[in-house]
Amino acid sequence: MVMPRIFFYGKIYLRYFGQYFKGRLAYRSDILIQMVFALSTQITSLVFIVIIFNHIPDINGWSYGEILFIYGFAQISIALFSMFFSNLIQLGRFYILDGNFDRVLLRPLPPLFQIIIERLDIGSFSTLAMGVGALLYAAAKLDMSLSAVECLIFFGLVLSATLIFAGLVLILVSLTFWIKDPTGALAWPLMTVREFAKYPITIYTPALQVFLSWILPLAFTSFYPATLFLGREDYVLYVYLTPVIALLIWGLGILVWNLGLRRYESSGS
Amino acid sequence: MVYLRKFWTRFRIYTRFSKIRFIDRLSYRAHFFLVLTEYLLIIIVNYFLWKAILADGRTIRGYALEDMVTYVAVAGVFRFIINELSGGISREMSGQYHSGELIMNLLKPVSYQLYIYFRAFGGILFQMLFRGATVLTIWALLVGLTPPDSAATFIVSLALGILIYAGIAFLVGLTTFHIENNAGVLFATTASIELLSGTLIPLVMFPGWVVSILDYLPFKMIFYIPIQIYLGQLGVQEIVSALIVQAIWAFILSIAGFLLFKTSVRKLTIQGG
Amino acid sequence: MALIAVENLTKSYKTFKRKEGLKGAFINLFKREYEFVQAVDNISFHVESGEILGYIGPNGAGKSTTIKILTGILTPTAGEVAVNGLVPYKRRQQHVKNIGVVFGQRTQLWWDIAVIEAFTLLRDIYEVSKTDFQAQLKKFDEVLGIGPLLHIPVRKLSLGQRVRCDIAASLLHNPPVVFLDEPTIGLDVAVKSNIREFIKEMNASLGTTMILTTHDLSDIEYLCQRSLIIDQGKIIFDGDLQQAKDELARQRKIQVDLYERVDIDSIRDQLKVAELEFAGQNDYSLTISFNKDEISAIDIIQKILDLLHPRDIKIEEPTIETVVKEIYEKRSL
Repeated sequence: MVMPRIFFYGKIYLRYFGQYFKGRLAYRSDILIQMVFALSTQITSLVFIVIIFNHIPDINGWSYGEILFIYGFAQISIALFSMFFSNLIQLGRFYILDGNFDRVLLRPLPPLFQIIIERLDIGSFSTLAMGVGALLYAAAKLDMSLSAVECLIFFGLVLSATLIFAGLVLILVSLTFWIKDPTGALAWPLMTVREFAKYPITIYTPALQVFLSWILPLAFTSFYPATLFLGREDYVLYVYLTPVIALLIWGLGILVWNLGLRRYESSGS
Repeated sequence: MVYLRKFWTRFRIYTRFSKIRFIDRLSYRAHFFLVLTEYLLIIIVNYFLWKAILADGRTIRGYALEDMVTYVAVAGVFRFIINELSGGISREMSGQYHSGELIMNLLKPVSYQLYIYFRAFGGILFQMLFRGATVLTIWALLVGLTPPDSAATFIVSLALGILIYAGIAFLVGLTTFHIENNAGVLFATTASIELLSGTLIPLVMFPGWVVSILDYLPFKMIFYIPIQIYLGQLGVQEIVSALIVQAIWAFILSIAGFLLFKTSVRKLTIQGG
Repeated sequence: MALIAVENLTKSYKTFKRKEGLKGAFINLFKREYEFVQAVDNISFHVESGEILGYIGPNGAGKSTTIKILTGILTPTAGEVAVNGLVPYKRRQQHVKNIGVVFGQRTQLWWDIAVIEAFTLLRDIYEVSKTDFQAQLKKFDEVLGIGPLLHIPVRKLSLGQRVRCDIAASLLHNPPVVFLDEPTIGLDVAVKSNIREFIKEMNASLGTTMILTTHDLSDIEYLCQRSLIIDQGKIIFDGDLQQAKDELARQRKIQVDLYERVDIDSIRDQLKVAELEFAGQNDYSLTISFNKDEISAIDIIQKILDLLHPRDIKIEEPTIETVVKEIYEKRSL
């Protein structure tokens, strides 16, 4: 009881994590299938980049190494999102429609915390490895060397990028408290729009750039933070905005979530 | 004459399976728009990528930006077909296998392979009439679209391409008889087909050794040949020989499906599922 | 002070009337007609510590709405609720630490992991000490015999085994109140009685207060001294159903099997009871209905024996179902 709450939640998270692994080990072939699935949806864009750069030296002034670095950064944040937050997408169908949300409310833990920790997507390990591989290859190609501090900043930015995407998904799936969404389809277009973030946003029209920066800030999940390591001075301000955006999106997400939760508590469905 | 009438009656029976799937697909309205948006978004990303890649009149292996504007749109629409066939044939078969519906269907006096094919064709008709037409219309108004060089040959070639992929999807579906959970095989083949049939990148841009390997495989017959005909990149003689090769592949794959289905079912009935 | 206090509780839902068909769907887009449904209509009751309360009602009567409010899932429209001195929906996370909930139709455990793993996870979530946890496990094993089940993954348990584990899980943190929603649904007779036994035993030894909703009135008969019946959002009965059986079900039946056909009118004159008829098609079976206040069963049997040579005589006791049915009918009058 004396133990601070944060340690308590940390411990519970790790316990769930451990139990989830134990449970999954019973279905080893499923993990393999999840990996193949994650890889098959994500590898095509890598193949695309590799093939195109056989023919041209740059895209819109961005070299092969730079494009790969941005791609790798995006891929890492996508993989981390899928691994740790993708259970959010189940809210509409599995939790609300199938009635599992009541069970969540009956446990003495915050409901959002419970839903996030109830399932991990281990299959995304394959795409994480792919992203890290692309990033390391790009770094080598660009003769990049990072100091310890820069590494720390890198991890901070990857974390912010992951949280931005997770926050956007949270806002979207919280809408299922109002809109019935039996297929969980509400989050699909978002999964596709993040394809836009795998490439430098300078290739899009100005209107689309504004959209990807300030309305659906996906550019902050890859392009802007990645530029810090590419030595591009033009976007420094955006780099430092990345953690701020992450906080704002999560603040908004939690607000919408709480409103939705209140609605659920008064309607029961 | 008698044979013709008999054939016609049989055909009418199978088209009813197509109709059922068609109506089934019509009933999800919210779903309809979400998937439409999703595919349109992919076409848009690809468009901007090519616009940057082929900026300032740059060309790669003869492809200029104006070709790619049409290419990405037709390829985007073709992904509806790939999805419909992998879902409506391969996934449907393993679903039916595990629910026991497949066995029930074997008791009906219809060919299971044709039953599965025709159901999928109903789905494709829906995809083309509603989603495909909508996407292409939006694209023509938004960005512009070159009409096919020869619409008739394109449609024949596209139909053969669909038949080839249906054959492959049926073979993938058959793995359900032999592997406990064949979802991995399904995901992997669908992704490979998208890549190797040319829906992502014109195949000619692949490294030379890959291109020469692909010449001996059926994948380029699925989409790359039809889109080349659409863009008018093939001469008359090339078109004729391409159509013949397509027809041969379609035939080989369907026969392979027919024979392997027979042996798989025999295995099933001996082991009792 | 009562452990659970419900005062003037009301819950109404706003639902919109969906019009059917394509035309209806179109109209729905623009104009929505709402209607209010009173799921729970101004009800009050108290539950004392240590009680097992039966909570009965047809589907849609407001039963599950009440339970959802008491467990903190739903907020009421009006009225006051206190469980263990806490308002459930205001401090839900604190409240649910003091309650246990069992849904017979759906497990609270994790599908893929072994029962003992699920229990230790719950131990951590509810912050139960290791010694208390071991003591509880030992007790559950004695009564429920769940020891052999502990290392089996939940998905491999039979329904009866699963429900036993679910009940044990709900009691791990030794809550003062447990809500049991249809705990015996779909179970065979032997498992049912095992579970009833366990509920009774836990109630007796731990003093746990239990609220039991069920369709199986034999659960109520066996477990509950007191029951609430809710219908159309209102409580229409609050008391002991066994007692109600004696009070309400005054109509009894005696069935007499005969060797030969008799003249029904002459017997009716002799017996002086209202209802007398031949049951079945063979005319060899006579059913006598009577009000037990007017004439006792002994009197009737004596007279029958004087008049006839019956092959067999059966007295039909009213079941608790008929009592509940009668309570509903009385209300609708």
